Amino acid sequence: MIRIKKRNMFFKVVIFAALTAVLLEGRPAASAVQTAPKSKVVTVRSPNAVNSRNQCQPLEVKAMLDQGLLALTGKTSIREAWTALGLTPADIVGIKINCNSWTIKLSPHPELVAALTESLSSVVPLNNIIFYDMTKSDLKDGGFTRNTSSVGPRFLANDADAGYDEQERLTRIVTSTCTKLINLASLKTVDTTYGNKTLAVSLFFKNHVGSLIADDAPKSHGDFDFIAAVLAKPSIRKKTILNLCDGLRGTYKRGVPWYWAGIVLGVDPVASEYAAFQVINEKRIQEKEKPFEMPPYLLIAEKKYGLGTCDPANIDWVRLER
Amino acid sequence: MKKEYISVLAALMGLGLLASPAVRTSGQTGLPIPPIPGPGFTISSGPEFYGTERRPLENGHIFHFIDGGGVVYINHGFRAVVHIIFADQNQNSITVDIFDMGNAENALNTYADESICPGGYAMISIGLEAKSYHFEPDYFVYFVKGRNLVYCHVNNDALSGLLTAYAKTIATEVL
Repeated sequence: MIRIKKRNMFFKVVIFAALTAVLLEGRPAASAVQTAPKSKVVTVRSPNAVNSRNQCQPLEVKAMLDQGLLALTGKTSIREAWTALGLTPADIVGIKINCNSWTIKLSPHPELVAALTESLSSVVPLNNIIFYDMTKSDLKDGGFTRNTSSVGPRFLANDADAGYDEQERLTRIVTSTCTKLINLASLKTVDTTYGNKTLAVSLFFKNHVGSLIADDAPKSHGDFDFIAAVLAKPSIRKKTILNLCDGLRGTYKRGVPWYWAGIVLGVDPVASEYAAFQVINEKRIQEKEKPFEMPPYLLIAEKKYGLGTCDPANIDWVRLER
Repeated sequence: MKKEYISVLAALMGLGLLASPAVRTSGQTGLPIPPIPGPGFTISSGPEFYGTERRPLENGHIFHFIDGGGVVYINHGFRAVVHIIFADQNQNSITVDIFDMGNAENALNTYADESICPGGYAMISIGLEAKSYHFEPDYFVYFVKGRNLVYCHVNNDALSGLLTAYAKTIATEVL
């Protein structure tokens, strides 16, 4: 009898456990919620990195990048940091830069480009580093010399050097040539209204619009789903290992610059964009300008495309000052 | 008397005596190609010509030039722009954009739009009213002449005097 009672008790426990499992199906375990990692974003600022004439100190810019990479990855050497981000010696790294020189020039600072090149070369050969933008004239206006040779880092233009992948509707630099990508954006306010929709900033999401087939780029105007979807394109999504924003000089109003003297680094593009966007808003508040509302494409990127998070509760924002 | 005057004027123009500086224009747009701004400068980039999406020019349409920011110009009636950059041996560069906004009213409305010409400017005279901006080390000027909105920029404010004089040349002799 006793055995039977025990068996009944055993069945009851099994049934209760099974029911509990069914009820909780699809929900993460409590312990998992508590330990789910936040998206880490690192900002590094140094008043010595750039002066009020937009002249950078190369060594300080390099130190900022190094410090940011180590803080982002928790590693103790640059090589380990890149490896932790997924970079291998055989990789070809494409870096999308934004050479848009309209009104206030916010092309990436050559000192940051040089620092990034040197840093990446701790893992990959120099010629496996490719900086690219939409057109030859973009590169030239941005102060970069096109280099398609087999010596040194390459500087390529979508319109001259690659052609386009019709399926993903992206430059082949992204779809074919490169095995890893870095999104090197500028800290730019555009504050442009399309009908009843306002695009406040041009950061990581907008930067990759320049990886699209040129005639697709205008489709981003006022279409926030389109903007979010660009980073969800398979090649961009799978290959991107770092989002890096050059905020040494940025604009907080359309056409009005300031020297933030910082950089933003993150793996999660949504969290990175959120942080860079907040940097602009902090400056706007300081200057008594109305802060922008959060760009709608960030929520779309989070909820619809699962690209990351723009919920500050889920972002671990590490602010470093040098 | 009037015919004689016109004949003399035409003869002088034929000799190039009234055309200083010599102004080339783009046949496709009628927009002038800005002359060299001063000694030591040469063309670094351009001239490039951009039109609308419906009527692109040899370098494409305005969104190939300034992407999303182009919408503001389109909303004001943008037709075409010529974009050119000059540089010297000392890494100084001067950029000129001459926008054809269709008519004078559109050009003035664009000039008044803070999305194009933000606040914080100083008014200067270059033979006509102009807005000048000094965001160290940049210095730039916006002005309107007829149907054209003109943007002149130098990346070194030590050359602000040269740029202002150059803008005056464009305003009074080129357009």
